[in-house]
Amino acid sequence: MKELLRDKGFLAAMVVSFLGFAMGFPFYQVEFPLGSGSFIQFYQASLESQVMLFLIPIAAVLPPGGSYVRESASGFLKLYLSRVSRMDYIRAKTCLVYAGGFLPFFLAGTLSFLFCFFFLYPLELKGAVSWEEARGAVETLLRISFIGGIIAEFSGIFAAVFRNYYMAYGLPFVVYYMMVILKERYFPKMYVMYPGEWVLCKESWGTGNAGIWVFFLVVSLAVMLSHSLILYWRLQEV
Amino acid sequence: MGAVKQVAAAVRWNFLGFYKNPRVVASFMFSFILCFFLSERAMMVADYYDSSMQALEPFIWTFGDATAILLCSLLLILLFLDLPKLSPFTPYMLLRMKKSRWLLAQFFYIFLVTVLYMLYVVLATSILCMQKTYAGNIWSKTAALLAYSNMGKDLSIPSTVKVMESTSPLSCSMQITALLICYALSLSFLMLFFQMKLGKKAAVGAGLFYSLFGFLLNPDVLAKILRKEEYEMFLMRRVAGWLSPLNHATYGMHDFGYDVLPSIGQSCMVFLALLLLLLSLSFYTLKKYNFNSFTGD
Repeated sequence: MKELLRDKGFLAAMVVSFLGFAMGFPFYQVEFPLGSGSFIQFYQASLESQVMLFLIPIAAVLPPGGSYVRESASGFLKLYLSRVSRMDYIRAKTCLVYAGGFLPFFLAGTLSFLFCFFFLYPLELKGAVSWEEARGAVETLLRISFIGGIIAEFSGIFAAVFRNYYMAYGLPFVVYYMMVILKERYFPKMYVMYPGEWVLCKESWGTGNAGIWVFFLVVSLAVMLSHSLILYWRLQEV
Repeated sequence: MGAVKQVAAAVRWNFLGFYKNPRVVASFMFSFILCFFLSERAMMVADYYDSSMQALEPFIWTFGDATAILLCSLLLILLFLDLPKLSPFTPYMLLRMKKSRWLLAQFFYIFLVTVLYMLYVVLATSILCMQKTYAGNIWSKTAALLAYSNMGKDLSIPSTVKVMESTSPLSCSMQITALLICYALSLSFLMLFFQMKLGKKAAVGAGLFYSLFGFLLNPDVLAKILRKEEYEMFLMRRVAGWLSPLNHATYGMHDFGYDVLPSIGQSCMVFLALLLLLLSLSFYTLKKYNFNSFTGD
């Protein structure tokens, strides 16, 4: 984890996601005096903005994207594998890549929430804050973070398969937008594979939208497993 | 005949591994995504009028705009990062052929890749909008509605009555493709020249500067800088239309009988002159070019 937090790519991803939240913030809607709980509504709007949707696949691949390519090309991997077992390396790498996609959004989102709270809440009229809205905002942030984690795993998979930076950083973006294109241009009813729907969660996902969390869990496990298997196959060559 | 064979062999060598090169694959994939973003406007128009389009109309409406041309051609910088193509095989090739023939092969390679890229863009745009298009070579109802409304002008879509009366969608798209290819070739040749003269970073810088030059030489930007009034805009359009390579590549910035702007043929001639100039400069630079790196990618 220390390795991830010190990574420049991780900081860059955090900055990009924070900028995404800031650019998506509906400043033009801010009119004083603010109604009670407005800061949550503004925060929710910034989470659901188009800018954020565009930046997710860019920020998600920054921390872990090329780490395998870098380690493999520089010869570090050979040296490292003499000190740890292959399974330990695979386990650590898979979790690190997932965390590298998940955490920047989660941390930048939490920071944005604090900004909204400290700057807007004091300007609101006195009244009760809707906990339902707060829960909605937290759930949206978690969904964005999960998408980040899944895309980061895709980046790790492409890095291990192609051992190339262009593929590691570029293909997840292409895959993400292929799903957007399929939904928007060819299959308008195919909302399950639409990243925009993963963030907004407006369609039917079962009772209490529990289906989307199951979906994230299953997809996350599937991509982590695929990544591990590909790494195992690659490490046999080392 | 021997010279042609040698050049063809060098061109074939440049294409070796082209389709497996991750940078090339990534460039073409990014271009597909870019076409999706850019064709959003054409789809919006079709949705607004709730009518179909001719298969090439999305391409005409998308790449009749300077910004779209600029964004599309920027990906060529990524595609041509490795020019001139040097590999461990290059010294052996140079032992058996003249350096000028080798350079000519580089130009043919650029030409073929650019044509391939632009045809891919035409195809990608048509495929992305195929849900709302038909194949016949006649202008659609959407195009007619656009031509008789202000929406086309507001969205910078070159769908005017004059264009529709004078040409068919196929011929119009061919003209736009020709202009796009000319612009892309001038950008790529410029990159090759700077690559040979000053190195890779200078080539990328030259490519970006060329694009920025075209972008800034926009009639609206010029009018703001020179503080011109609305009635003087025709003059700004005329100056920008003749000076900017990007405007030479923009279909809507040509002479349709309203302004003294270049015709499509004149623009092609301007590009041809520019390409010949870059070609001769590159041949001159080749004399002093130091082939010190044969490691390739």
